[in-house]
Formats: sequence, C-alpha cells, structure tokens
Amino acid sequence: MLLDAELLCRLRYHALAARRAAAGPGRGPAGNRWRPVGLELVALRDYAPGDDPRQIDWTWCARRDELLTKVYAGELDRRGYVLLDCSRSMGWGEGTKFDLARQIAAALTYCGLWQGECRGLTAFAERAVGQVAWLRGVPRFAAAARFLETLCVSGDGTDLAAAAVGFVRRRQPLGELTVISDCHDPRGLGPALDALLAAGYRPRVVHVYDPAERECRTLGDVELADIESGESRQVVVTERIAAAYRRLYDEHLSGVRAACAARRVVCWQWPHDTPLETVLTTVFGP
Amino acid sequence: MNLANPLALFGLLLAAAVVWLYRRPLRWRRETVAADYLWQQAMAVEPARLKWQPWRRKASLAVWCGVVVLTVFALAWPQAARPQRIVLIVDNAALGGSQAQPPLASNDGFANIKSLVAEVVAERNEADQITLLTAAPVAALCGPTSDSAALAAAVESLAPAEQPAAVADAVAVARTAIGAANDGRAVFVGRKPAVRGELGAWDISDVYRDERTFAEPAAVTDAIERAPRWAVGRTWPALWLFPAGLALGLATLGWCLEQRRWLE
Repeated sequence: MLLDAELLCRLRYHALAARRAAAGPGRGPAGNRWRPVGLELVALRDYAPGDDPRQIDWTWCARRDELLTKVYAGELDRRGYVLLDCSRSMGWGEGTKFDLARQIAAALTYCGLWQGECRGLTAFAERAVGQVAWLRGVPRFAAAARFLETLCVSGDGTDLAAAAVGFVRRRQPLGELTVISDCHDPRGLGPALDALLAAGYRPRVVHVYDPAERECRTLGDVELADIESGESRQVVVTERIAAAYRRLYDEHLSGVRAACAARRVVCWQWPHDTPLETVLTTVFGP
Repeated sequence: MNLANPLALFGLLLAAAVVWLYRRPLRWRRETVAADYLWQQAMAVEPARLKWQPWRRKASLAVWCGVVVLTVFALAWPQAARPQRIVLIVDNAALGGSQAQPPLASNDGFANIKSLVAEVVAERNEADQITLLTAAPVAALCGPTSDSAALAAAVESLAPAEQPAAVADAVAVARTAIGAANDGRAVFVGRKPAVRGELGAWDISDVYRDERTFAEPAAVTDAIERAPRWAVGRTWPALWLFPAGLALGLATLGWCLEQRRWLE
C-alpha cells in the first residue's frame, strides 16, 4: 500500500492548502475566491471537502440526494504529469529510492486529482516503460495506485533526454510536469529539461538520492558491477580514487541543482529516507 | 642453529602455505554500484598507479616470505631450553677445599653448600643432564641424569669429608664427563669461588652469584668449555630476532590492511 488512509487524509489537507495558496496571498478560508478559469460547464464530479459551495450542483443534490461539484472547461485544462524514473539504479541499496519516488508520484497524482486536475503518469528507464494517462477525478486514483504498485525497476540504463523527448512526441496537452529521478544519467539532466521547456511544459525536478551511494564500501581489488547494465569491471580502488568518486558524486548533486537553476526550474533533492510528510510540506506548503 | 627444530620445520611449512595462498587466483570482491559512470570518471581523474600494481602482489609475497624466514631463523636459533650437560663439582671438604680456609665453626657452612647445590639443581632446565661430583674425594654421586628424584637423592647424600678437596682432579673428571658436548658446563660450588689456576684453561664466569652472602662463605663458580663465545648469552639472538620478525610482520599486516587486501 503506497498511501494509507491517514496519509490520504493529510494529502487532502495539503491539496486544500495548495489550492488556497494558489488563490493568492492574504486570502483565508473565508475569503476563498478560487474560481474555475473557464465558464463552460463540462462535467460534474464528486464533492470534495474544500470545494466552493457555490459550485455544488444543488439541483442534482435535491433530486438525487448526492453532492456533486460542477467542473468547468478551464478546470479540465489544468493538467499535471509525473515522469517517474524506474531504472535499476533507483532500486539500489537498502530502503530504496524507488519506494520514496513512487510515494511522491502517488501523492502528487492524488493531490492533483483532488484539485480537479487531469493527471498522467509515465514510467521510464532508458525509454518509456509504461504510462497511465488521462486520469480525472479522485476515484481514478485507484488506477494510478495500481499502476505504481505493480511497477518495478527495469531497463538497462537511464536516459532522461530520451524519456523527455518521447513524452514530448506524444503531444500531450501542456501542463506541469514533475520528473522524479535519481538523475543517474551520464548525459545529465540538462538535455531533458531543454526538451521539455522547448515543448512548453513546466517541468520541476524531484531528485531522490541515497547518501550511501557516496560512500565507497570496499577498497583494493574490487569488481564493480553496474546495477543498470549488469556489466562489471575489475579495478583497484585506492583512497585517492575513492576520494575522487566522492568529489564527483558531490558535483553530481550540485550539478542537478545547477542545471535546474540555470533553466529556472524548481528542484527538490531528498535522501531516500526522507519522511513523505516532509516532502509534502515542502511541495505543498505547511 | 638447527633447522631440524620442529618449530623451524613448521615455519617452513608456513612459508609454503603462504606461497600457495598467493599463487591462488585472486578473488575480487564484487560491489554493485548505482552510478558506474561516476566511477569511470573517478578512474579517469585519479588513475591507479598502473606501474606499481603488477608488483604489488609480488612485493606482498616477498614481505610475507621474509617474515616467515625471519621467524624460522629465530625458532632455529639455540634456545635456552636446549639440554645442556652440566657437571656440578661440590667442594665437600670440611676444612674448605684446596685453599687455606678457616675451619668451620659449625656444620652450617656445609648446609649452605648443600642448599646452594639444591638451588642450582632446581634452577636447571628439565632436559639438562647433570653429573654431581664431589671433590673430597673425587667421586660421582650421580651420573649424567635429568631425573629430579635421583638428583635430589644425590644432593641429600652429600656429606662433609675430612680429607682435603682435589679440585684439579675433579675438574679433570668433569672435563671427561662433558666430553665433546658442544654446550657443556661445569659448576663449582664451594666456600669461595674457584680461581683460574684451579680450573685450568677454562673460562670462569665470575658474574655468577657473587652477590650471595651466607653466614658461612659459599660460592658457585661457573666454567664453560667448548661452547661458542656467543652461547654465553645464548638467548639474546632469539630475543632480538623475535621482536624483529614480529615488527616486520606487523608492518606487513599494516600494509596489507592499508591496501584492504584481507578485509572482506
């Protein structure tokens, strides 16, 4: 179970807080002036706590004794996507990065659906390995949860650029796109962000990493096996090489931040053991 | 030095085992990494000293063999525990041996001599062959033996004699008893230390029990015949080699640990 009932309840709270924050500063719950962007009524959806009472279809409620909220065209235009890295490197170590990444993806999807957005989920390694698209309404979260729970690490490498280009080529409507990855792509994160920005998406990056990756557990004659490709090499790891590796790993972490900052893309970096509550507080606000 | 020493032979077996272990193919520790491309970059930035690497294993083998050889040498070196042939000459003359001695005031002086003989016998190594010889008259109380009971009985049977001691004759008998033994010793126990003239051409170790004082004078003189000069302090080479081998072994171990060769 990726998200339990208590966590879902907290997610609804965070989604409500995010919606209020989106309404603008200085507006409290009583002064919530959140309005749908469009005027054309296109659908009805289940009422969710926090919905504007004026948007409830009271006629339907009187006839069927059921609370439904009106959905306008502008509301349906709000879209959000998650690009989830499921390469084998995400499964490295104890208490893997992949678990936190899936939880973040589930939380983002649930909050988006709860806010009436249209959500999509795409898993990738060296290319797209699966997706769930056109999710609307909170009940459809079950499909996303099923998809995430059955997802496992796979592939022979990580190619963020290829995954981004593949996503762009599917010509999905523009929207906010969250890339969740450990960013272990030798080509870096920049080309992927460039492709998404050029296509008009609003990317943001969640970089999940394992601090244990930075440490060299053995020195001397070591057979290094790449978890992604499965290839192994026999090398002599000295203290100097280990120190160089640690320096490069630090540069990798700062490089991800720099690539995002250079493109004005929001970037969050979290160790794999970060509590999900901390992640939600950072993303959606306290 | 005797390489037939069982410990030395065991050491040589250890050297063979070390060589065999080094000739076995190296087992590489497998490490699964998430970011292999970073490792490749690290190797490019800080390449290992490639010229040194092929020699590292051979150097390690040479150092360990050196440690084993040093240990074998230390083990094969003459040890204090090697059996010796000791002739104990006891001046049992009631009037004090060949030199002019004041007469004994009582029998306590001879009791001191007996206790001194018993002490010398008790301090011997288990395997030492001891011959107990009286100087007045020259007679063997017990033949070359390492049997503690026989030696104790012989010491107990010591009795003062009225006739003068014939130390020179006793030394001649002792020389015969030691024979061709490489590490024979003659120990003279009397009321005063024997002098060079009495013991012929033998070296006299005058550091032996000079500090002993008795109510009645008693002395022990240690003479060494045919033993190599270094054997006088024969334990020192082993004492020197053992720490040296140990230090070298520890240095090698430290080097191996630094290389993490033996750590899993």
